Amino acid sequence: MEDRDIDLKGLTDIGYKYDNQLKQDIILNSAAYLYRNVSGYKFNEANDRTERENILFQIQEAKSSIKFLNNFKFYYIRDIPRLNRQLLMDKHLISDSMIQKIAGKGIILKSGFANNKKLTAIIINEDEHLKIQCHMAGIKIKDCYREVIKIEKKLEKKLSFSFSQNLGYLTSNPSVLGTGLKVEILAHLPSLVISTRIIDFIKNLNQIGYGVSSYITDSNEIIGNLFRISNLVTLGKNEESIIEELDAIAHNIIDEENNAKKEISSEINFIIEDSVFRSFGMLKYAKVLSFEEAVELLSIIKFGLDLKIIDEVKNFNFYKLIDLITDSNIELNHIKNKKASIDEIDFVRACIVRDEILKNNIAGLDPASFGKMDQGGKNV
Amino acid sequence: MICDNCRKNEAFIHFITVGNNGELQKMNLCRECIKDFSFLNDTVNDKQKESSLLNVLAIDLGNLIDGGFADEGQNQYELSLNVRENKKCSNCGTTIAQVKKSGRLGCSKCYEDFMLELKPFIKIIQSGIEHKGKIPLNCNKRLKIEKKIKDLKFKLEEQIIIENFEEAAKLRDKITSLQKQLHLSVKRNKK
Ligand SMILES: [Zn+2]
Ligand SMILES: [Zn+2]
Repeated sequence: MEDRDIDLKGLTDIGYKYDNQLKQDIILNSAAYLYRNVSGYKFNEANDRTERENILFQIQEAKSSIKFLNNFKFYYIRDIPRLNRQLLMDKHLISDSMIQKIAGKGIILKSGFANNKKLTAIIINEDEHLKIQCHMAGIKIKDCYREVIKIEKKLEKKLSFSFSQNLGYLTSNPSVLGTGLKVEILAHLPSLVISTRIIDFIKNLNQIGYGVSSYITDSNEIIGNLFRISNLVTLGKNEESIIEELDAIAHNIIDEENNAKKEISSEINFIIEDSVFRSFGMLKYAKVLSFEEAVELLSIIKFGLDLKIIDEVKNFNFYKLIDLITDSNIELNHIKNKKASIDEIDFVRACIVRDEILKNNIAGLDPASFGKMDQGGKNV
Repeated sequence: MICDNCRKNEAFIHFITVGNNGELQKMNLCRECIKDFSFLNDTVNDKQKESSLLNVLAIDLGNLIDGGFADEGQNQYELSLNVRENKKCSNCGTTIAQVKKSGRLGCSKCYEDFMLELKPFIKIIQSGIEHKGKIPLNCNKRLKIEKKIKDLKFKLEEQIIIENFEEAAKLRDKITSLQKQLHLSVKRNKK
């Protein structure tokens, strides 16, 4: 008998507890991903639905026999409603490929997010049979790794993983071969971008085997001066050195960004001021904001706050706010029980942003007032 | 958005730069133009360039597999290309052509069967072709048993030399039982 009654709450409040004391200005987030395949089966590139279902079943059985995973909940992807799936994608827990051919795919989520500093999830049958991941705020690469390896060690007592003496853990994608470990940081680098040093910076990272990509998965467009930095090499290095390297890079990035910031602040020109105030004007008066636009503007405002160019805004947690204003989060948590139009989402987003950053939010902004603004653009 | 350099293709990477007079400019470049773009080309050696391009430009596995054969001589390479393209994995049936297209392998056996073709590519994207990280628990056990057997065999020889046959018999029994254990763990691994 299958249990189709799923706990939607556990799929709506996904995130980690924000620590207000934590330094989270430049390195916004850390993550670790561990890829494994169950031996005796083909990789997901070559197998079929039945084989995937068998793999999923075996992993599910292993999960339920591990005490440590008692507070983790299993969901079939097919049982998760569209919006909650989108939320999982917006939180960077699953990729686009996960919601195509959904048979035999699942996710195991740690419950009780509200009290957790870690966002931990096990993805079943995405590109590899297993993707064990942990996300935390700030520079917490080691802690993220500890969490995923703990889970892997419990699982390997019940499951046998594809492994070769020479090549290490075998994966469908050769770029995660060996340790199967990817570690990642999300960095907000407005000063490096404005000073154009970002180009050398990316070049240097590439040379030492680190890749730089956009905040948006599978997109090459950089938005909000946000950069994901992760190791390209997974074979020929051990886990400790992979983690320690990225940790050192993270600290180095903070220095570089701060140096660039200092240089800019020594000669703030009217062009930079103009850009900050223009962004402020947009955020203060715009009725609708797309996600990309909001992130771009918030990045510049954050930069203006750091340089003390502007003081009409509250000091806000950039990453927390980005997380709050994704389409899926707005639809799930602010526009309940109905299908929202893009305009409505963009309208609510503008409201949330004003609410979070304006010191004097005089406009009386109410997300529920959408559509009632015919007289001179004023809310009624 | 159109590429600022060639004004032809769709731009895919965007940077903000500061011009000579301190003005902010947005720079938009397409896939083609970024290949020639100085920041990716100048001092970087070929190997590094390819791995950086792999990330920035998401070059497909196929190109790099081809690139890996450049040193074999073009003619020989082209001759063998067709044969190689149709080579199949003996377990899952995935062909080289499919791997080149998707960038993905079909099963563990693919790594054995396509090792020759994959090696140059793995060398480019990874730091060598030797695993230096964690090994599985049951594999760990196997290595431990193997080491124990080696140690015991050494001791056994010693005992035989000094003609302590009673002790030697004990050691021989231990070795046999460990070899049985080893056999079992190998079997379990293969399952
Ligand atoms: Zn171009
Ligand atoms: Zn195969």
